[in-house]
Amino acid sequence: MSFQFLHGALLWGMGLVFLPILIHLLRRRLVRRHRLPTFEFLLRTQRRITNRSRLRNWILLFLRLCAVGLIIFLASRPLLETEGGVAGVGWFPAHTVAVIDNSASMAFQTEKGSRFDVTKRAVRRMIEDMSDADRMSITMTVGESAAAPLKELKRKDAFAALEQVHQTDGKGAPARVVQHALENASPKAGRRNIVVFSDFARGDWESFQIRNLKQWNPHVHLQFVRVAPEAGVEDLSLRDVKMKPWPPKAGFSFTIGARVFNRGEEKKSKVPVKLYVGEELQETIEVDLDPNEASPVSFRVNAPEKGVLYGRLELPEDNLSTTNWFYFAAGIGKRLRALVIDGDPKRGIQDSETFFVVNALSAAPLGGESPVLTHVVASYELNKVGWDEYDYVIACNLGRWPAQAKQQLRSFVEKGGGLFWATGELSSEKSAGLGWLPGTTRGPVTLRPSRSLKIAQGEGAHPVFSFLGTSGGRFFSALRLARITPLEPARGGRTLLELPDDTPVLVVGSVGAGRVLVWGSTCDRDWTDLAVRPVFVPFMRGVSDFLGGSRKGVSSSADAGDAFEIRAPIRRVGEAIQIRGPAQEERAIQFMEKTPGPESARADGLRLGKSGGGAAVAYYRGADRAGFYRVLTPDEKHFVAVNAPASESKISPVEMSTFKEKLEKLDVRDLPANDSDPLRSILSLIDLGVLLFLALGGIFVAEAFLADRT
Amino acid sequence: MNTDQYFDPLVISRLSNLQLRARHVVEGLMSGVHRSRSRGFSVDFEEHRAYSPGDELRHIDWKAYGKFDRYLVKQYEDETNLYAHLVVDASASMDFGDGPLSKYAYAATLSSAMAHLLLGQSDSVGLVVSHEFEDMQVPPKSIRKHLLTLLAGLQAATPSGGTGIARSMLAVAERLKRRGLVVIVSDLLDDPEAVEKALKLLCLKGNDVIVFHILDSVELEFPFEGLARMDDVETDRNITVECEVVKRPYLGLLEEFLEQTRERCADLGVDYHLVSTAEPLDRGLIRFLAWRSRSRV
Repeated sequence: MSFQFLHGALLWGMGLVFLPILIHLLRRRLVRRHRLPTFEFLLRTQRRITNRSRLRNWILLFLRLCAVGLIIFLASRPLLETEGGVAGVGWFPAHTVAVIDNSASMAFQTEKGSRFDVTKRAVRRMIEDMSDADRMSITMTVGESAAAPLKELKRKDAFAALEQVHQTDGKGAPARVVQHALENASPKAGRRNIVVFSDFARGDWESFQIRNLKQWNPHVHLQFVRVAPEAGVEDLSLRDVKMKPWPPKAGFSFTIGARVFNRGEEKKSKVPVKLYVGEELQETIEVDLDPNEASPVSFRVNAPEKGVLYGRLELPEDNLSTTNWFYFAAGIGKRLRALVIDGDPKRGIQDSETFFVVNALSAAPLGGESPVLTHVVASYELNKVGWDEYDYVIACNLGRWPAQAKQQLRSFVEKGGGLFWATGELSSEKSAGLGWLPGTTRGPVTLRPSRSLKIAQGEGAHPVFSFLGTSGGRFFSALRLARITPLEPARGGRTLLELPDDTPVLVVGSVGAGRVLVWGSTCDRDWTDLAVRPVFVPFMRGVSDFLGGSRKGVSSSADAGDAFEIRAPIRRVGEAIQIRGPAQEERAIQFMEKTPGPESARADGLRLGKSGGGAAVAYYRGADRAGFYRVLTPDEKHFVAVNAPASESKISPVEMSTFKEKLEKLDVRDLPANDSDPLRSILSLIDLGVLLFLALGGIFVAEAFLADRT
Repeated sequence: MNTDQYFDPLVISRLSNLQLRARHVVEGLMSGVHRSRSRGFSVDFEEHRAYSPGDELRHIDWKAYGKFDRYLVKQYEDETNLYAHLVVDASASMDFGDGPLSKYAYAATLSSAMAHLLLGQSDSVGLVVSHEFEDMQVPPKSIRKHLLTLLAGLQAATPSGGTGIARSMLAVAERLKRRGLVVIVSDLLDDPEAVEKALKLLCLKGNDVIVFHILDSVELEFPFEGLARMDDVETDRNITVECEVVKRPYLGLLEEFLEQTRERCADLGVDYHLVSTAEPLDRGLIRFLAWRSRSRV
């Protein structure tokens, strides 16, 4: 039991307690002299009253000291802090709002179940402790209840409400929930308490600022209970999962990169990181993890030609399982579309560069389809091209071409399109008017004797070479180049392939959102034998993969706790679809028309995608568990991967010293997982204002009575 | 001090139509409005005085009327209705006053007015100015010039020392050969038992006793506030008191004292009159004489 003061600084005024004594002493200094003939009567009076009067005066002085002290004490707003729950007493029923953190990090296992389980036990104990007049509201940091009106529940209803609270894999919004609770705690209750149960993981609380609360009511006792801090943070987690390109293109490979983080104090050896595609284990990589260190892992996955690609990364089970999985799903869309520009269309088709390029890009597995659709145009046809239909452009020996097309090409690249610029006799940077490329040319040079190529140092893992395996360098060293246009990286470009004397021949760079490769030779047999070498097909496939991958698409994944949307053609407005969640729960949602505009976007709290205009869209707002949410319509195969937000892997708690600075006078108490009586961790703060006010009134009455008596 | 200060014209003008009548038949030699047991032996002419209504016609000096054309009455030295003794307290406690007049000044003024009144009726008036251990005495005479002697006696006294009013009263009682009027003007801050004893003796000797109990308004009301050091005016004693605290019990004790004095006087047949120095001087005197005239004609 201890005191807290809302305005503790006022306690310095306790010095004023001695004011009555000071006044008394000053009055003694100001004593006046009078002569009195009837002195004898006064003397007898004084003798008669002295004993009683002296006692009465001492009592009066004491009462006045107490009155001044009480006034100062009262002004500093003392609050009596007692352990053992928040139930109301006597005439002061309590309204308690239990804020339960049900974010992903609360699933962390302790010796008595998860932190969430420990929290529920504590809240259950609070409900048991309620009196009949008390009321309780239960709200959560994740889910729709966070913003719902607080229901003031009796004990029986509170038990039922607590049973409905469940663990989620979402990210909490503690500031919003606490603010909501502060604003809605019943003003009718004699005592109002808000008890926030949380692990205070960084992911949720790092940005929490008490001053951000719009309304701070000092009459509401806000306390924070840190759940099972002794359980620690030892955990393996997948972080920074990235997939490139995303979504994957039909028939193309993409990489899944992630970092595996060891939060434990011990080194972990050979931790298996598994990649599942569909339900089949595709690959396992074992990593060694030093304490508090992260190791990268990377998987390469070949996308199917059509249908849905879904799978997951998985770590071994540990304290916090929700960070051990990462789900991904994508519908395989259209194949890449490449525009091949022939800059020298007069030549015979077998001598044409486009012949070799198109054949290389059209290569397909046996019985399969090529992942790339090519379209060849001559340079003089460029004015008729619809640029937005293509994912990338391969320009071969392009010399003279329409000025309008030059501008269109640049715009195409800056918006995210890819460009492979192959030089030749006709082509030069100056004649092409392409001063924005990442490599500059210096005019053709004949190499005598011919030279081979090598991959620039440190660029062996570049996606352009991803189809060459580990022996890509050997393939290039077998090439012969008789004539080149020497390049020089510019505007952020860098060399990927070069002559043995380090003269750049292939330069890569970015222009706007697009990727550009500048090839310093031809794509036919005039200057090099590349087009007839085995390396040409996988090289061009890598080029295609790299350039086409820069296109951004719509990913079918979402964070747990957020709503996700499913789009469909406008004709499906009004149609209902059934969604099955990871716990096999099913729910129907309905397509509605979505028209673009900021108001509608605000209304449902979602960001509009590029194709938002005139589409049918259905929102699913109950996805608070990680996993796959499947659309069950027979003719439709659609997966949405839902993962715990990346921030939920930051489970180490915020520094309590920092937190206390933010919370200043607020309470933060620890609730151990094995505490037999959780109520001990929950404080009750009794406002002593009324009692002190009554005491002050009593003192005034007594003082007036005694003063009148004297 | 100017002797006229004790003769406020307003006071005198208001008293001129009133007559003092003795309550009892007193021993005297005069033939006047007062009834006397012994008829007078008065023979020594002293002076004429103007006739005033009530004087018997036979006392008019017709010869003088023929000579001066005015009604004059012969005044003899022995012609007295009453022997009056004014006993005025001149202790240090009487030298106190919150207003323009100290208690002694008030008492002296009152005594002078009484003397003037009594001498105007040819009564003999004597004076005793009481001090702690000895008194200043002026023997009673009824001639008008005697007033100046009385006034001089009052003026000569300086209030000082302790109270000796009871002793003075006893001395007067022992000294008096005839019954008469004894007027005590004092604050009576003496031993109450001694005062009672003296009064009793005066009454036993058949004197008509009037007590003017003079107190200042400060003594009666105790108007002080806050913490105050009170000094005794007759001794070196002092005490520090919280005025608000002691006021009520002090006033209670004072009231108790006044009530006891009043009761004792009533028991002895003494006319007791409490006079505050805040009261106009004449008002108390008129009220007293009016009461006297109604009840003792």
